[in-house]
Amino acid sequence: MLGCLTTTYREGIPVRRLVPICLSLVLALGVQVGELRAADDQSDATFAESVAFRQNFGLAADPATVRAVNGDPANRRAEFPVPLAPAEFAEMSRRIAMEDQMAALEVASEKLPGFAGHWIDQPAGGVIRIAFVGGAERHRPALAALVPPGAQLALVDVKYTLADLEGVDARIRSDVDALIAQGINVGHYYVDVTRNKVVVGVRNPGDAVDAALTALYGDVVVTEISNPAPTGCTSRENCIGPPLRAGISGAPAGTALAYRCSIAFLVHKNAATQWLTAGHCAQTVAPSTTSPCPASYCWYHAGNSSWGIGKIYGTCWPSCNYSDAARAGNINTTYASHKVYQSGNANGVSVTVQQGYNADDIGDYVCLNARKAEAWRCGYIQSIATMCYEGDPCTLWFLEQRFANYASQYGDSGGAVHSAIITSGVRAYGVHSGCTNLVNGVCQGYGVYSHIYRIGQELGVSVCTVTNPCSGG
Amino acid sequence: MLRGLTRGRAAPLVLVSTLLAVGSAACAGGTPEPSSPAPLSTASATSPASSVLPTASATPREDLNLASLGWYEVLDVSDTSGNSERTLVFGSLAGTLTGQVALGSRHPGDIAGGVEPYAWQGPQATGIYGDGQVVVWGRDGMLGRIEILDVATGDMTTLIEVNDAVQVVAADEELEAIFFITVDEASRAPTGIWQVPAGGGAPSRFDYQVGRAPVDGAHHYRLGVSDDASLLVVQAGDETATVIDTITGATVQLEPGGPFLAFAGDELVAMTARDPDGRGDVAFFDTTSGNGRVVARSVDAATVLATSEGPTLAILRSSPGEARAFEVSIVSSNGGERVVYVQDPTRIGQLLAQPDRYAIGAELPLGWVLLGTSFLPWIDAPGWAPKNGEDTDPPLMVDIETGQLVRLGPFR
Repeated sequence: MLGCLTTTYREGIPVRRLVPICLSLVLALGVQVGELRAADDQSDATFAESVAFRQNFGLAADPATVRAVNGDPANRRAEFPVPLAPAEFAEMSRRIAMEDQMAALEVASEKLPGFAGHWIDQPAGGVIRIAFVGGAERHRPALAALVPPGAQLALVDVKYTLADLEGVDARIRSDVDALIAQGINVGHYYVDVTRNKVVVGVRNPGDAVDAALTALYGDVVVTEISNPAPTGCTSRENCIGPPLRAGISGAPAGTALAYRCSIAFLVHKNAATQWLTAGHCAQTVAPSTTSPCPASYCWYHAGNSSWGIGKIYGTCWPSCNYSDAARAGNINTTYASHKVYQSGNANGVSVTVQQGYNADDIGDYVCLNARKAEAWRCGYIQSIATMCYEGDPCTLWFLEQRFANYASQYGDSGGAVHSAIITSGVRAYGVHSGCTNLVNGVCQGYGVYSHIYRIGQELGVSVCTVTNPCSGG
Repeated sequence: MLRGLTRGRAAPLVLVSTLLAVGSAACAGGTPEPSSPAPLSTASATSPASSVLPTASATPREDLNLASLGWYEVLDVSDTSGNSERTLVFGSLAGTLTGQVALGSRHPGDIAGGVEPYAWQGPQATGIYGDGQVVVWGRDGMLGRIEILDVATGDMTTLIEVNDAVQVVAADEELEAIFFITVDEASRAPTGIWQVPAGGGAPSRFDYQVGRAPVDGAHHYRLGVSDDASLLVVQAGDETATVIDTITGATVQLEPGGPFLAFAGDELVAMTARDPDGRGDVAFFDTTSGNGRVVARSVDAATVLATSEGPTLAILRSSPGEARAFEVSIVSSNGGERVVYVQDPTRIGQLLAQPDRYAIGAELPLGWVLLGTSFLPWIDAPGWAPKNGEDTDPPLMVDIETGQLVRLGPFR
């Protein structure tokens, strides 16, 4: 939704500090992330989460107020992840309604000369801000009538148009390998319309790097630290790499550990490199390649806002016939790979081939590679049947799911299912979807996965493998 | 790209088929134990052949009356609470859902120590035979009961009830003879292969002793019958396929490496062992000598069709480079191929129906092939929610002679 716009970024491994500006993001976190509803799927907000939420949306965040609001059970509502007082609930509801009415304003502003981006300033009370070059106020007459009732519009003067910013972003994209070769270790880059800058995340910040980038691109570029945590791969929650690999944790920014999903194989999508996860984990698709982040369609390794891994560009939830899967990206040359996670193996294990249609059978040995256990969990296919996720009679189902007796838990959704190691690599079989009987977050029935051939059909992708490697971009 | 495959058009496909010679086929006619299978070995290549896609604008056949043609499917649906239900649905290809029959259900408490209840083995239905009939077994937990369903009327009649549990059933094309394997309900060990006339009567037991391993979720038997009911084949998984002469009881052991598909006359059609990407070859086996010959290489799926010229092999090959691209071809006995359907790679097409893999069937006229592995997304009736994406093609019937396409569903 463009109404959530705060920044735009693209390509590479984008990073964005945690600023949950978009209400739809906040609403999504509680219901769209993590495995399908378990009996114990409660979303009790912690005190810290309440404070963070309130700060991000400009609500009173002093400890006394937070404790008072959180202490009243009547303030807990399904619509929001943290308790809200009645007046706060009304205000947040107003902002949601405002977001839904912003399309005309957004479209009109984007057509005006000097356009440089629009966003909602949530900390300021949900103010709509639209930036222009060359005198923003001159556009007020054209836009005033399109402002949703009750909303406040602020026009902002800036130096660079959005086209300027995106042009620099594109230049950096083409230069990134050369920059790394020069010793400027670029980890990510994105357009930030709120600052009217192109932000470049580097792992070796300093005056020399700043000067070099300014010399190349001018003052439109600012730097920030990329990947502040230890690099490489020490666990499924700390394995940004490079390379990016299947089997690690992924979620929108700020998602609590309990509600994160897993990511599966890296795939070819036309000329781009993307990755897979479960469709029910990624129900919200980025409206366009320039859609801003953070938002519920922006994903990060381990939900860490320093480890962006792209946007959700396609989801099978709930419309596909055969696949509970989604695709996201794009992943740059540095991070593109055909690897899966293996505990203690910094390099990961290669995917040698993608299994074809009809290639598996009941009794085949398959392994789940997902974030809730360090080791691969393996078992045998027990049946191939339809999985129903909603309704009685069933209204949301997927055909040809594989039911296997490997162990799984809440949070494994989206993980990779592959063979054991065969001739120095694994064969890609599918994406873990859920469980036939999840009790207290632990699967007491069969693990369920969608087959990779059907995912390929429905999402139009093919797995990156040793013989069909992904080059990124 | 597939060899010879271009967007929207089919170029000639070339296939080199290899003749496989089988050494002295060891027959064990009438003996209770299987004999050792003869190994396959590569011999010489036959001449390649090629052909082109027939026009899709051919005049529809006047004799195609969809309302008189039945279909069925076993829907096997599990939910997130550990419950599963298996339902037989059926109707006509003109777009009707005539009825549905509950076959069985399973709940978390039914699975003891990770072991499925016996009733939850196999699809519990097969067809379509004769004049629109489906054979049903194990319905409502009646493990030894075999019934026959008329998909046009919904009438169901009991054919036979036996003491042991029925594991799998197969019949000849005209539904004149029905064959089945029974299992001891307690030990789950196979107890015999039986034959019973479709019109009723006492079953007769073959001397051949199907294996001793208990049947479970990952180990059960396939059963196939030749059109004239003279030959029977039984196979566990991708293991040895045993062909039984239903008159003499003589057996021939074959080891194709993959699952058998069907009989084509007195030959058995089977997949060979799969490549790492899952593709395999299709071979025809002489059921007297045991000799085999590969007629199609590196295919994703295959099925045997009834045509005016006899049983004919249809194959599907997908494209490694294009996720949605595939083509369906007809293969002659000498390995010549003729493309009869090319999938538009911008859309999600329906794949070749696999009767041995998905419990689905349709009463097709001679010379037609069904593309579709489930009718479920196109069932629009109370209790069912259709779910068919905008870019997904419905199930199709393809006339292999004219290229005519008939889109099926929705079924109401």
